[in-house]
Amino acid sequence: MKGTMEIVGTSDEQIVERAQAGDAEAFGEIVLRWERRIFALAYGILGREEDARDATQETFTAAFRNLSGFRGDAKVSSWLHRIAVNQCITRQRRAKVRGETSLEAEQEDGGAQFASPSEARPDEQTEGRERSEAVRRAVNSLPPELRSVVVMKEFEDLTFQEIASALGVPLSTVKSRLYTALKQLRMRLEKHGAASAHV
Amino acid sequence: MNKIQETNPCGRGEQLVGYLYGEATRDERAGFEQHLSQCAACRDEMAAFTQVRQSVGEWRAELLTRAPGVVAADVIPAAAPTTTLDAAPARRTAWDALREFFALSPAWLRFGSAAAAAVVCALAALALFNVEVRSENGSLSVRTGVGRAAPALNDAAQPRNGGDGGAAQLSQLIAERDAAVRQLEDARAQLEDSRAANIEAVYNEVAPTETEPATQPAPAAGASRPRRAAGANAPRKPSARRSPRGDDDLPRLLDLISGAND
Repeated sequence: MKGTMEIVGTSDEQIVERAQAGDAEAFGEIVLRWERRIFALAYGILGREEDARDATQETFTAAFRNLSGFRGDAKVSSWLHRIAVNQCITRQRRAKVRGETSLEAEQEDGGAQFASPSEARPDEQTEGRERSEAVRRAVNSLPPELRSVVVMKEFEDLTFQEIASALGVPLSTVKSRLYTALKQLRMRLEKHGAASAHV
Repeated sequence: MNKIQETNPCGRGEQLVGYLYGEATRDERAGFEQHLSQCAACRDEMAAFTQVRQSVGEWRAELLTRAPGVVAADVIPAAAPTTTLDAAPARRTAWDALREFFALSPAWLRFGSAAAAAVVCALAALALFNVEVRSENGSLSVRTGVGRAAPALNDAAQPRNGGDGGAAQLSQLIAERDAAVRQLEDARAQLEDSRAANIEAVYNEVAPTETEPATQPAPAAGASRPRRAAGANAPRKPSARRSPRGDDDLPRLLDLISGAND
């Protein structure tokens, strides 16, 4: 992208200022910097590659449309993550209303292609990848409200208060959900033997 | 939510996650560390949760390395000018559109269009190469070659008797024209003779009236004669005159009368 070299050493906030001034290419740099993290966050919450891809695109589209709403009070990363989380939550609610297939059923069939190690040869499937696949299945098997909390905390290191604000729940609810999520993940991973491999 | 609610054996679940993620206050941290030193269950849970966090972190790292990127142009249309501006699509001409139309058309439409175009071109060529422009009586007339070419084509379609068929036809037309001219001349001569006879008859009728009494009855066959005779003394109106050429050739009645008197 033209002008990328000029803004390599520029902070996200400065780039957003340029985008607010009408430099659309500057926002392209923001997309390049954060697209993978936003996708990972969306995939962690939604559990489906296609949904995560759509949510990522919608996140940046919404951010671009609301550039004027960013006043610099927070970091660009927090601003983007908040938008992404809202996109994911909205998608989860829509899916719930439509009664779509549960993630558990989908993941048992081998769900996300990009995250599965099926592309690699068996001899290349390392123990770490097997463990990651087990974690993916375990996280995706969590109820959406637990999955959202644990992903927002583990993936983006949002504070309890930030998560509570994003989800619109009390701070204590965030803590209790996080404790419950960790406990269920422990049970699932120990059942699979993934967590015990670290011990 | 209550169905999935897990509880810490010591009822310190929220304190545990606060300590685990480093969000506990100093007092909370100090109080929980004191509890950990005395509670094996909480120590076990702390160790297990740490392992879970490590596993989730590894999964996240793998996700980041394999996550597909988002096409920035899909998010920001204006952010992809380098490709759209440099590789601007060439403007399509009407000829290009026509070619595309025929390329996508069925074969029958292509051949039909070609035949129609050939007919139109042939007619246009005939009109251009055989055009005739005439200026008659101050008016301009244009005659295309199509109308004249049609009979020619018909003639060409008829069987010919040798190579001089056209010359023989032309000679026949000339002969017919000459015959018509001769018939016209004969008719004109007869008309002149009949005019002269009429004038002589009038003269013969008028001449006695000058010598004989006016009471003598006029001949029955000349019902119009008295009017013409009566009008002979009246001045002639130009509009009443016949064609100037015919009157000049004929002897005037007054001259005849005066000649008779002499």
